[in-house]
Amino acid sequence: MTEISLEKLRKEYGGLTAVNDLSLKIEDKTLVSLLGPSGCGKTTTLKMIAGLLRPTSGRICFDGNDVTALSPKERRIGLVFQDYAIFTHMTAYENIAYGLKIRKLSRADLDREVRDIAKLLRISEILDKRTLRMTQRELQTVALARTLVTKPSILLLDEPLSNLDAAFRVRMRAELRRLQMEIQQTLVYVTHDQIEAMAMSDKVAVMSKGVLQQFGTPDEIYKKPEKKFVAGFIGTPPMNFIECTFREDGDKAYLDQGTFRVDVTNLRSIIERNATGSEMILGVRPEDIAVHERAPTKDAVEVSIDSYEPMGSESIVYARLGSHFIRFLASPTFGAEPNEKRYITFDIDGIHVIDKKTETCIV
Amino acid sequence: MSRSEREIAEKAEVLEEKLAKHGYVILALAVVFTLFPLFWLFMTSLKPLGEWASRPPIWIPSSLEFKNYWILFTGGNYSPQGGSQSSMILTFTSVTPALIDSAICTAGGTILSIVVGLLAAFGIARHKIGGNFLPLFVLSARMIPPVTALIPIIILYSTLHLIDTHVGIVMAYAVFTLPYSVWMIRSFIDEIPTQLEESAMVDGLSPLAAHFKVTLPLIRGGVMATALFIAVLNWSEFLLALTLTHEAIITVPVKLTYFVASVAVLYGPQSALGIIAIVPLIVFGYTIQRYLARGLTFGAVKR
Amino acid sequence: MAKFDFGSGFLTILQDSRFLMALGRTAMFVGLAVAAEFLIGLYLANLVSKSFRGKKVVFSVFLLPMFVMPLIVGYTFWMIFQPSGPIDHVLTLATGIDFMSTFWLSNGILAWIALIATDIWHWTPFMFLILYSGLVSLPENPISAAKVLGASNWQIFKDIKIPMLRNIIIIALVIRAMEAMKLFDELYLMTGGGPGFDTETISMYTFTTAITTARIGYGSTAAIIVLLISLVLIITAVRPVLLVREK
Repeated sequence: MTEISLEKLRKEYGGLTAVNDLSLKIEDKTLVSLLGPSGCGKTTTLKMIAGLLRPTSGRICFDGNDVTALSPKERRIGLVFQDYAIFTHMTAYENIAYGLKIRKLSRADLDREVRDIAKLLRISEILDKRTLRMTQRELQTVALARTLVTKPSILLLDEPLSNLDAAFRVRMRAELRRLQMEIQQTLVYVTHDQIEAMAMSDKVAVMSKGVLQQFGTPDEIYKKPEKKFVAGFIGTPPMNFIECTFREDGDKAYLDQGTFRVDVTNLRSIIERNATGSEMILGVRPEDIAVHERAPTKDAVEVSIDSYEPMGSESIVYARLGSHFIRFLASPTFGAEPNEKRYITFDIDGIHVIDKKTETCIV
Repeated sequence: MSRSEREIAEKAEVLEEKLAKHGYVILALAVVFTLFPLFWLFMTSLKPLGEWASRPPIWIPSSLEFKNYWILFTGGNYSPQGGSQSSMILTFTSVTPALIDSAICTAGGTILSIVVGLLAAFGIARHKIGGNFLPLFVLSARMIPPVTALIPIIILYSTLHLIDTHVGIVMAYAVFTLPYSVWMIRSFIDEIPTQLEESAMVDGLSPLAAHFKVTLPLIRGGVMATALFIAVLNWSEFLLALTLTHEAIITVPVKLTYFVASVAVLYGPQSALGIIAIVPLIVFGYTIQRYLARGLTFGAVKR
Repeated sequence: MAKFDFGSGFLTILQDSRFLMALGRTAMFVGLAVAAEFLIGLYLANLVSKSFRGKKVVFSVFLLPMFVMPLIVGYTFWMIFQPSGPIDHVLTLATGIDFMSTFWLSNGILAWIALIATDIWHWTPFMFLILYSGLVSLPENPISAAKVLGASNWQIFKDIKIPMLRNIIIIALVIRAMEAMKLFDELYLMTGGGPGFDTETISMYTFTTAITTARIGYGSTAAIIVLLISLVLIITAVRPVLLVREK
């Protein structure tokens, strides 16, 4: 129910800049993920939104009001930790009731609220259970209930699913998304799992080393990455990066790798306009590479098969191209001996051209 | 700054609470109460004879009577202040033998305790000797009032002619501090993975050699802290010294009681001896405390 | 060849009112002193865990009394509680009533107050140290969670921190109680068990009967009883801690 606005948020510790001039607007009622590898500053940012950490500089606004100086209590937020931070000396009921007890709700009101949320999250049976005996799944749900029962305007989740078993994680992912949409909650979700972020979010903020790399919908991030980091981080299996040089040959333009070259004539003007030099990186997703036993065109590239993994619906194939290792997808019936030769072609519409120096995606 | 340092700094910042105004007042009061007895002791040690027991009491001596200190080492005598029995003179001998006796007993007792404790700790930690029973049995030695164990020791020592001997005291001190020695060293050994010793034994070392060549160097700091802790206990020990010695050996605590006679108390020199006695304790204490404080965070972020 | 006589010694001593009184006084002393040390230690530990300048110095000062030789603690407080000593002086100045001839150590109740005050000064640092270590090593997330739920510092302290320290508190109390039962050095120097037997605790009783009056058998019996009581106390107190650990 609240829009969050981060303006040039910065957090420094001694010599280390954990969050570097982060500016972001999270719209009301949306689920936004802060995605990135560990140490990228996403949890630090979350804690600043929560009010547990003070930014070194910058502002945080909720619905246009500057909350940077407010305590966590005054911000009316909800927070779920990765380890759930359940109060182990209390029962589930007492845990969930704690926030309401602080607010001095009457016994009857408190009881009603707790039982309502327990019913919503389907944990009514374990309300009196001692938390020391609970499973991870139960703990996670109790942590969620404890937060939701205080009806916060913003919900903050710090990798809430990473301690769960895989099957439950997938189910909980959908549950959380459904819940968020149902109660129209503004939700900020921190994770390092890009599949999770892509599956659940309205928008994703990709971060690396304290810097925001890109903020967009999952579709935008996947199809139109703006930075090499984003291109390489999003997508499973990850994108292939092949170093090459941009060359012009008469009225044609190529990305020349040495052993092969790709015709990029129709992208020539864009590249010329945005490139800082001629050193490029060719980015191709595994799913945009097709493999053939014999070269279908003369542009096809010869590769040497290393190994492959049959995954049921498809196979992931690892091959060597010159000094590069590349991955691509093949049919589930793919088979080859190590060092056998195959030929691959790229889907030209799907390639990305990355300026090697600036690590920005030109195309 | 590394990642874990950043996590420590973050934790410190998240948990930080500011001290309220009345908190400062309470802390100041607590500091005053803590330091006052020591202050009094120190001031008394520098009071000239006339100021020892005056009414109202004198808080700060008018002049610094360092004589109280050096007279301890030379021995001396006093006649009671203004007493009608002017023929009564309090004599005391130099405290130097007492300091030496205390040093011998402390050092001896500590070394013996550590040596035996090391062997026992390795036995319990690595070889599970005595199963669950032995560690608790050793600890139980601390549960009883020392007076209790003293009785059989007196009987034993009388028979073995160990009363009033250095050997007797050293052994008694070792026995009484053994529980600390064993338990503390054992907990340090438990922190070192057994794989290190196992790989050394694969290379041909005997178990005992593995213990002392591989693990012991790694727990050196902990053993030192234990030794200092036990040294503090031994140096301060009074009851055993009182009952197991007569004239040949006088430790510093026992010597302290010699400054009291029925007529008067030699506050000055007695306090001076007290100060001298606790100086090594405070030094040891701070050394241990720095080791203790290693695990406690005072806050990693400098303001 | 001495005869072993198990029963009569125990029976006799359990009917000895002096012994029972000593037992009672020990229980009272341990109860009062340890409780006071715990409460003061807890309060100071919480205070020092906050942030302020000079924290390291204050911490070191607070630990100091623990390291002073018990006998010297006894001696110093013996001096302090003398009639017309500093305590009497301060009381007189503060209240306007003349306390100057109050002889603390020769008056039953006042002597106990002096002894308990001495033990508090000597051993509160121990409680303080243990509780402080416990407080600062508490995990941050439950505390942050409580903050976000709206709890004040005081509410966090009583609802979250103290319950999480339960095991440490129990261990600290048990250790301190065990040691307090053995009080000797200070007692010997300050009152010697007197006036009369007013301040005689178990350790003093055992010492006097066994060593001073050489009734070794009797003294031993007293000692064994104390040992049994200690064991029972420790087992009942420590069992809840061990049970929780197993989970």
